[in-house]
Amino acid sequence: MTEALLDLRDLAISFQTESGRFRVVDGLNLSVKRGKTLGLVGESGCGKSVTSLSILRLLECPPGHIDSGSVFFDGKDLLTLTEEQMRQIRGNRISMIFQEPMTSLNPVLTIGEQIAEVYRIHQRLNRKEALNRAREMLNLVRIPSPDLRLGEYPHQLSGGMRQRVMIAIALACRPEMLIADEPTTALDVTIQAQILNLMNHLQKELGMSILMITHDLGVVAEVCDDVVVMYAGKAVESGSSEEIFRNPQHPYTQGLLRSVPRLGQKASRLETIEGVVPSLSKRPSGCRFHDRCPQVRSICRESSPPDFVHSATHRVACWQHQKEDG
Amino acid sequence: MMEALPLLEVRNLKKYFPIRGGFLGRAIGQVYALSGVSFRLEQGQTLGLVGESGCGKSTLGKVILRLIEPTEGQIFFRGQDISRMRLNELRPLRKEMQMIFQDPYSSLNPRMTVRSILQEPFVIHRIGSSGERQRWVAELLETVGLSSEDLDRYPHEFSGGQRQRIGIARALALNPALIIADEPVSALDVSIQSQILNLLMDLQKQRNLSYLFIAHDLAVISHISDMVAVMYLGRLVEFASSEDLYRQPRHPYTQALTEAIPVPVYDPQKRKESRKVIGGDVPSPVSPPSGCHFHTRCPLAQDRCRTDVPQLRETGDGQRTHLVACHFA
Repeated sequence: MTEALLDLRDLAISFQTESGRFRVVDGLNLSVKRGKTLGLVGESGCGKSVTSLSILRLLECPPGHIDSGSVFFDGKDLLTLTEEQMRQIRGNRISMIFQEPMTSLNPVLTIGEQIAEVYRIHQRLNRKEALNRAREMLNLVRIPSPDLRLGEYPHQLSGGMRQRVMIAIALACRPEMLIADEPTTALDVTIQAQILNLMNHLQKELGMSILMITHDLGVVAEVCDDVVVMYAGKAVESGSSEEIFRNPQHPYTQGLLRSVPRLGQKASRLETIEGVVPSLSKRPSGCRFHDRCPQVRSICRESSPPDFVHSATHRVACWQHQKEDG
Repeated sequence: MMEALPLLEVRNLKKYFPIRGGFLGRAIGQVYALSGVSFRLEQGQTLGLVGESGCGKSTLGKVILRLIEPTEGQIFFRGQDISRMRLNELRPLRKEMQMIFQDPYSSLNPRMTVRSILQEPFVIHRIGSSGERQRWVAELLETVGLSSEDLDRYPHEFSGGQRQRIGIARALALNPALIIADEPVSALDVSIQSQILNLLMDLQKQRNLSYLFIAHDLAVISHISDMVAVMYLGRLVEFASSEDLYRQPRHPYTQALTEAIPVPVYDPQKRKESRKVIGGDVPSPVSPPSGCHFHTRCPLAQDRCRTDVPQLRETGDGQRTHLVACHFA
């Protein structure tokens, strides 16, 4: 078994708001293996983006606060490092790309300057060398006519090209770990397919690990080796892609998979999950999914289910699996 | 039934937006949003309009309602040409055609209660007494799965899915025949998206509604639609029944779109070999490519595609229509 490169243990994050303090991530465990892709999937407000920001300690505190837990990266707990040590890691050993490439790029700097900046800061290269390396990166992410593009500004590029530039910046220092937060959500499907292919290809070439945060189960199935499903701040199920998609165990995962419309399945009603995701202030007692769960039992209303072992790699936080835990 | 008029028919619809610039603000170019679109929508059916950003699908929806004036072409609603109709003639017909928008956050007035949002259509069209309106709005809200107790709440008190239900209730208020839904579920989470799609399908059965359903997601479109029109850069490239389009996509663009959709199924085979993916970006509608608009990205492109515009032609078996605009399909 491969050793985990990134390992979150019992992570708890809360937010201070006008109406009180709320746990947004509650006891999350996940590990990303070396050279593999882990998909963190869930609907809006489940805590997946907050988790990703906390890993790089980019979460705004306050209002956010990491209450407890650890973020082990290559054996070291990132939460115990100094800000200076963190700076050595960000963009260098762990990089991040975001959903909206337009807002993450600086509109008044050229593409070349923005990529070169990474080399100047992290590797202290001079301007000319840094620009040369920037050109290589544009080649690597398959941007046509890189010489021309180096001198262009973000607004001159299409959405897909901007996301390629973001990837070039993120991968400039050949990080061991890439955190991608909804990297293709704002893109058209044909462009999304290009970007996913590119990420797959670069992962093989550079041997990096990827934490892919997305709401799109289709994207997860296509690129992820392992999956963690989150609901209302908790991981409800985790396992290999094969286990999650072929044999989902948690009623929430099952419901999600059934409610996705698929090509060629016309006109029948879709299966749905009744109700809505509970707001932070109205999270139910016990299992947070119990008020929407078709298989709810009395114990679900009273106490929160721990992770039950379904197989060596497959965990389910659902009381139905209690007996199997033996 | 064969003789019946379609509910909606558009013929050779064009819309060019001028680009203004320079000292005098003269038109210095044009955005070719719609370059000659024709189709029919039968009563009680759903026509899905699918395409990527900038293909003109939203413009088409707005032009049909005359929220944007067409540059050229005709729009027939129940056989009547509404494309040049004056606004006072159009107003009674507008009761029959309603719209649902993508963003339930920005399409509801945040300062109005649900009650006043739902009453507004009756007020504008001067329908019903105050007592009748009260009864109707309560019924409407229950029709879309909310409770009449919610009438005096404001939009921000609802979740995205609930707001979309309010938008649907407003569209239903005047008992329309046609609803144009522009990306009605794309801002919603999966579990909520399926609830709204089911609601729309139930309402269609109960009220014999026709939908023009605009979306970028081919899976959603193929699920809800009887007929599907695929758009690329202002033109229809393929028009077929939902089943035929899935079983036999004939246009290379439709094939690429189908291939590009990530499917939530574990398939080790598909993961090993990188998927076939079309390269390039959608060209700008300011200067669309000559000939077939898709030729710059098409794996099958020949010389002819660069010069000749392919017409939509019938490739069906005579029973069912299957139109494709490709020289080689």
